Amino acid sequence: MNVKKMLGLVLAASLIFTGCSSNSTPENTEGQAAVDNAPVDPFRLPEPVEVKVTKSVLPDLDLKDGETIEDNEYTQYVFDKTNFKTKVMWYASSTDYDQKMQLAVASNDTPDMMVVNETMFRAMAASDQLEDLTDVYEKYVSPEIKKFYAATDNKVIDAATYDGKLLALPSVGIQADAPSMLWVRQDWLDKLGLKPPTNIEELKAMLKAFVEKDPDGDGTANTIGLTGNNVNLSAVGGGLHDFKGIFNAFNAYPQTWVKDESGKVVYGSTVPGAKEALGVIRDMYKEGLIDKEFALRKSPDELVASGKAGAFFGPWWTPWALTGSVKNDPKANWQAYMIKDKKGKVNIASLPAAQSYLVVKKGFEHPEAAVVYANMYDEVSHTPDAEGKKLIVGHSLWPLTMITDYPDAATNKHKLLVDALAGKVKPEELDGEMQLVYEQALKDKANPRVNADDWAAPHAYLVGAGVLKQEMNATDPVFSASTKTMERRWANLQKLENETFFKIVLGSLELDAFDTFVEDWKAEGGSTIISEIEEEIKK
Amino acid sequence: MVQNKSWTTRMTKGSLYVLMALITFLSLAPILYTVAVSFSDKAAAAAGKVTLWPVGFNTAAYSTILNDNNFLGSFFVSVKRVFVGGIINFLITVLMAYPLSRQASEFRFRDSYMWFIIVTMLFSGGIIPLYILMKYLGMFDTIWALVLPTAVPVFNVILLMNFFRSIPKELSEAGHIDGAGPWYMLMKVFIPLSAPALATVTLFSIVNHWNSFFDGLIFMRSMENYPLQTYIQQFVVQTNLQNISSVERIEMFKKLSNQTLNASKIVIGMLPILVIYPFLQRYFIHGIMLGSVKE
Repeated sequence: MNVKKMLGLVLAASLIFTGCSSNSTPENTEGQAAVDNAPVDPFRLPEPVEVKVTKSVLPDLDLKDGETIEDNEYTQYVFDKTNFKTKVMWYASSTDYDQKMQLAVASNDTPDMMVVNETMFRAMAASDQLEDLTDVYEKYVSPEIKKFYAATDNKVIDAATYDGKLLALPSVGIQADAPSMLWVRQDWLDKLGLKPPTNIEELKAMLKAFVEKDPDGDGTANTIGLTGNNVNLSAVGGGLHDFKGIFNAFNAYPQTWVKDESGKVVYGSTVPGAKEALGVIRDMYKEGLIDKEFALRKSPDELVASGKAGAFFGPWWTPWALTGSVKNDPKANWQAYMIKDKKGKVNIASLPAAQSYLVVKKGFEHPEAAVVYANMYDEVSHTPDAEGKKLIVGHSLWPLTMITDYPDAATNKHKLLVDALAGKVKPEELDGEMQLVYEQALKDKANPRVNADDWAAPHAYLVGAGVLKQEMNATDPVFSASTKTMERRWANLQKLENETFFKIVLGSLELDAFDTFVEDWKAEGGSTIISEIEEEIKK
Repeated sequence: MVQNKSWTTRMTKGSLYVLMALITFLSLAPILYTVAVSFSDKAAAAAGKVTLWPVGFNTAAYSTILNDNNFLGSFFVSVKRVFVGGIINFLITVLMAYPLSRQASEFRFRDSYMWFIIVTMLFSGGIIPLYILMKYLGMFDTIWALVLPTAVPVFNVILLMNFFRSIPKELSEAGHIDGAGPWYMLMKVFIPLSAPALATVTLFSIVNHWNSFFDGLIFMRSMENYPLQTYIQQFVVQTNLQNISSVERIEMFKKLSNQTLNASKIVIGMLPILVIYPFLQRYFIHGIMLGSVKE
């Protein structure tokens, strides 16, 4: 009953909306809806369907003997299960993929299905390059995927809907990537008799001790304080070696569109809190608490791996990036803490509800293949069969990868792992991924930090994801795509922002240059963009 | 030559030597560093302990490469490209430069022809039209996509044309009187006399073909067809972490970039050019000067 009702609603909605858009084909929609009643298998296509995809792989992709990018255990599994035949149109390493993809999209030489980011999704939707998935979604989607989408209050569906048509299957943004935590070497803290820092003042005191008191005990004060990176001061998602944690402690969310107290849209890099944070970072840099050469350093990871630095900001999954450090020095005991604001609150900005979009090229004959694929992929992610357990979810050999999970998946996995280690949950009840992590955790417990690869995943889930449990004051971004003026001006505005911020921190501009920056930013298109966004939100 | 041995001259000379030595060092340092890293121990390289001398000398990286089919495949693509592309460039350069070096009285549309090719040097249709063109010509994933778009090296044509012009007119007049046609003139008079210039343009086109990576990146749909520089480029470019998912990121960290391996790839990548340069350099310096001044 329910499904039929929904279908009716969707049909009505699509009629209304397509009626508004210029290239409406209401007859077509009606025709499709008429044959809706036949039952379909949401996990298998009746006939083999060949789908052209493009792939982003790691540069040193290693294929098993006899396997190719197009024909391997992943694509074979997909074909056996769903009749979805993968045809690789082209592939490139993740470093070059974006460039190639942009060129292909600009030349309208797109694959049948692909996974894109929000900006690209909106651009393709606006230029009518995408197939309408509204009907096939309703007809084929599995209850599990619906459940995960509903867990975001259906925000992901809203994000994937354009002009009333569902044009993509969204991936759920895992909110765990949002908080930026301070990763600290506990062994250094212990040696110096310090407590883990909870606010900016304590952070400064700790860094001062790290710089001056020779925490690595080699007899010279040659360690540095906080690391930074040469790309940006604050990343949007989970950035390593940035100062997002400091900005957030001043209730500032750089590069994010948020609403201020009066309900107006503001750009997070231009709020007064950002100036305060910049002032603090600037002072820290002047006092030598931040790596003097951070703006020139190509890979701050080296500092961490070689034991020169013992504190930096990163997301919950940072331990995977710390295997070098643990390999070099098994004493390196990394722990994570959140830095609180003056009122003692932990501030974070949530990530967009949808993190990527699986889209189908307009005119592709079997749009339902996308939904069937998503159903299969969702199943193999959570409840894999014997064959599926051998495969790694998220591996780049899958024809398309997406994330359908609860937005708080990392925290859930933390609980599961803690319970399993405490014997409250039987290891057999864990899913494939968590079973592996559980085994690694046992091995690491027996010989702590001897095998860095066994250490990383359990440590990320136990410590990194454990930090996420505390109460946080989360600010929702109001917009994360691109507007008309942004297309033309955004690159310049970002350059202005980045250069000003770096110069302020490095001391070549006074702190008050921030005010000039805000004025310039508004004058050079910022104000127009804000009004465009306000209009966009009202829609 | 009388040596001026006053104090100030010596000082100037000495400081010039120091300055030159410094500049030489600055140019050599990155190469020495790369070579040193390629022969170092993996862990030492990752921790940034290597400077200009290998730490924990070993050749493990090189033996890995010699068994790496992707690397060897790309190396072969590059070699093929240099041969095919170099020959095409050579033929076209010579065949264009000769008629263009004649007076307008001998070659009626010479000036409009000249303008036609100069325009292509200054303006281009942009990358998207080129991409679409290559797609419709069906050249993706073929060697032709790498050699045909750059088949006419306009700069080389002009260089060689100017060189041909500097060959005394009397020679071609004498040839005419003895009944030599244009082909005979080109083959028996001009080409033998232009060895330095020909070596120069050949070197240019070889180096160009060997070093370019961008065309390989956009026209090759599978990595097996990447030329060597495109293959190397993807390893040494800093990944924009914002553009990849955390699953990929985690996988990347698991593998931790292998600097010694990358360095040895770069070293092997520059070897061929290093080897042929000394042999052609003689002509190169000679040729580029001769071609540049027109009487």
